Amino acid sequence: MIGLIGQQLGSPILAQMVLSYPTGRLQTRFERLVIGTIWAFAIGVGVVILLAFDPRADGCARCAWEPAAFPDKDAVLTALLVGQRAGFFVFLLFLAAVWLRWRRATPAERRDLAPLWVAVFIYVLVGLMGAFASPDTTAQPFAYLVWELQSVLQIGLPIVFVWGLLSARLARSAVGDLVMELGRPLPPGELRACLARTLGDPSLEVLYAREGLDGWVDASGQPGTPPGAATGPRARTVTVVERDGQPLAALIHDPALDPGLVRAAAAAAGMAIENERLQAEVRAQLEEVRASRQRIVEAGDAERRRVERNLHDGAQQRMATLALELAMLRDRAGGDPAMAVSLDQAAAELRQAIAELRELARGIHPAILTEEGLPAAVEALADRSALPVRVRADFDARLPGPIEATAYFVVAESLANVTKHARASGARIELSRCNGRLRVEVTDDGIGGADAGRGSGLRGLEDRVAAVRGSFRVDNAPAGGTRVLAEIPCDA
Amino acid sequence: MPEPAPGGAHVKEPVVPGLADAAAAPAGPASAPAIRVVLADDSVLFREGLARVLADNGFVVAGQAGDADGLHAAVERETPDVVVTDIRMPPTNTSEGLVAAQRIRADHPGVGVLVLSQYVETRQAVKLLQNAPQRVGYLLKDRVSEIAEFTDAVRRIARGGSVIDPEVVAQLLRRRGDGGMLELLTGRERDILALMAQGRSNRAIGERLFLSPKTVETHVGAIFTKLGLLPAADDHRRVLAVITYLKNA
Repeated sequence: MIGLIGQQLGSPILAQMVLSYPTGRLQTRFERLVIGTIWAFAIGVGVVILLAFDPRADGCARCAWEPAAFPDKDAVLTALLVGQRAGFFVFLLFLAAVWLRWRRATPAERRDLAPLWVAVFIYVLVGLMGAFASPDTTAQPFAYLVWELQSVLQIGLPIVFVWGLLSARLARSAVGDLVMELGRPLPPGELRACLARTLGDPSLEVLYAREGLDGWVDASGQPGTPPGAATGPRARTVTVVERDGQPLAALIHDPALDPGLVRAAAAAAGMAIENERLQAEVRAQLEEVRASRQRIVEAGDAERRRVERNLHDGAQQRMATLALELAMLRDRAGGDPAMAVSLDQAAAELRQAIAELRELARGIHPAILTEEGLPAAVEALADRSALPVRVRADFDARLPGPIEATAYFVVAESLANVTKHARASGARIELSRCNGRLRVEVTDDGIGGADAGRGSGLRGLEDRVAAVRGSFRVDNAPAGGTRVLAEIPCDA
Repeated sequence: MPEPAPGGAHVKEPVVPGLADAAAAPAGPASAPAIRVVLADDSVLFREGLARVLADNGFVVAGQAGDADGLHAAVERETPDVVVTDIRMPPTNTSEGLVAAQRIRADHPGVGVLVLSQYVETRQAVKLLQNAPQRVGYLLKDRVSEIAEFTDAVRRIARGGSVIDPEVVAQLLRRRGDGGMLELLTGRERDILALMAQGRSNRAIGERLFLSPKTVETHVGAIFTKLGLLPAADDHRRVLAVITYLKNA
């Protein structure tokens, strides 16, 4: 009799275990409904069988005799048949609950649930085969086989279940491995990878608290924001690691991770987290300084453009008009030689002033750079150079303003140096773009020996190039002379 | 504001005798009809000054504009002989004048364009010569104060020639340095080459250097042979050939 009860109650227990794994609690109303239905159904069928089944009536001589309250073979068979046919629909309900649970699961949960659910899937498949086989297991070898399989699986499932729970406990021993890994120096960002491996959550993010500031940065110093207390299927959990009540870092991870495990890992990585936080802090400060330097350079460029434009629209235009007026006066003063000479002198003086103002304005900010871009402006520089200058540019496209201006001033300053100091007979300028970087190279055939460390001109160029994240180098060209090389990242 | 052209509708080519009013050309060279000019510059003061200079020298200022749109409208309305335009005008204050010049040359083959700029850049000069065949000019803005030179440039463009600022030519010659084929030229030939590049005719070059047209012709032939250039069919093609040669080493 106990066997009979056990056989009926096995399925509900199993179903409940599957849906409530690993916490032991059913999470949605639908799950509770499904489990309730399964229980009610199994108990109902069980009670009928218990009351009506008389094993001896089948002629089972070896069976133990148990009294049946209302021995009725038909009732037992009907109950079994109804049980198996309707059980099919209960199975469908159960499958729906399992599917919903899978959909709700986070990646980490799915990983925990996977072995169990593979087993459940096989079990369900075999169960379905059983539902279509005859209840009379002795008559058909297939039905018998299915019945046997069901038995084996019913025993096997709890083993998988226990193994799953056990492996969650074993995850804690991974924290030990983490401690070992952190014994060596880590490259930036590697700590995140270590923690992600240990916790089994590839989506884990680590943010570091800024010292004395209300802000968070990642390992590379880029600002980041920990997500708020959001709810929903894709919500993330934030575990803040503190020291002396001050936040050090925030681990942003899958809510399915065991909070104890996360804290254990964070505690084990304490030193490394502290180190990486300091490094992130330094990187963030460097980035802030670089950005502010770039802003200063850009503001300077904007100011230069403004001054050039004001000169062009104001003083230069007025002086051109004045020159015109003088010329007309000169035409009319033809009869007065003394006046004509004075006017000629004034006109010559004015022409000189206009030329000087033009050179001044061009030096402040060349109009052609704004109008036609870097290659055109560099060509114009070469056109006016006292030395023969060859220009080769492998692009004609426009680049962002600060990059064009930086590259232009690199060429302008370098050419000025070549003319003044290099005793060169010519220079070569190459502009090329490759892999999102602009390469500016100015080479001369002079005496060489230029040094970026000395001379404020080259030093200033180095600063300018660094402000747009570029690299700047001055060295001796392979064929003698000096080579100035700047590489500036530019969006392709 | 456009001034009504004296003599009513001006028919350009062929010139219809009788309609080409002699009174419209008080001081023009020979008895040709006055050259009709449209001016474009965003500075009203400069534009007015230029208009006075042109009017004093026998040109008819048929219209004025302060930006590229106004210029195109004036050209559509007046179909002048020559447009004199600043390169940098609203709205973008970059090279509207250059773009307008190319469009006018494409849409109105009879209208010449002289582009003025505070800065002369060889690249812009070459672009203009290449994209707007014939009847184009590119001068530094302050050249207008040399009135004789300036009015001569406008007349040359009206006659179908091309004008390039001496500064552009000087830059090109300087940049070519003393290497290459230019070495083969004598000093006199170099002077003639520079004047050719500015768009001067053989006669003008002769007047300037006190040479007979025949001598100039001989020098020009020698220059073309030494540089390996094909003889050019007209002045404009000659400018383009020389400038292109100088530009491309």
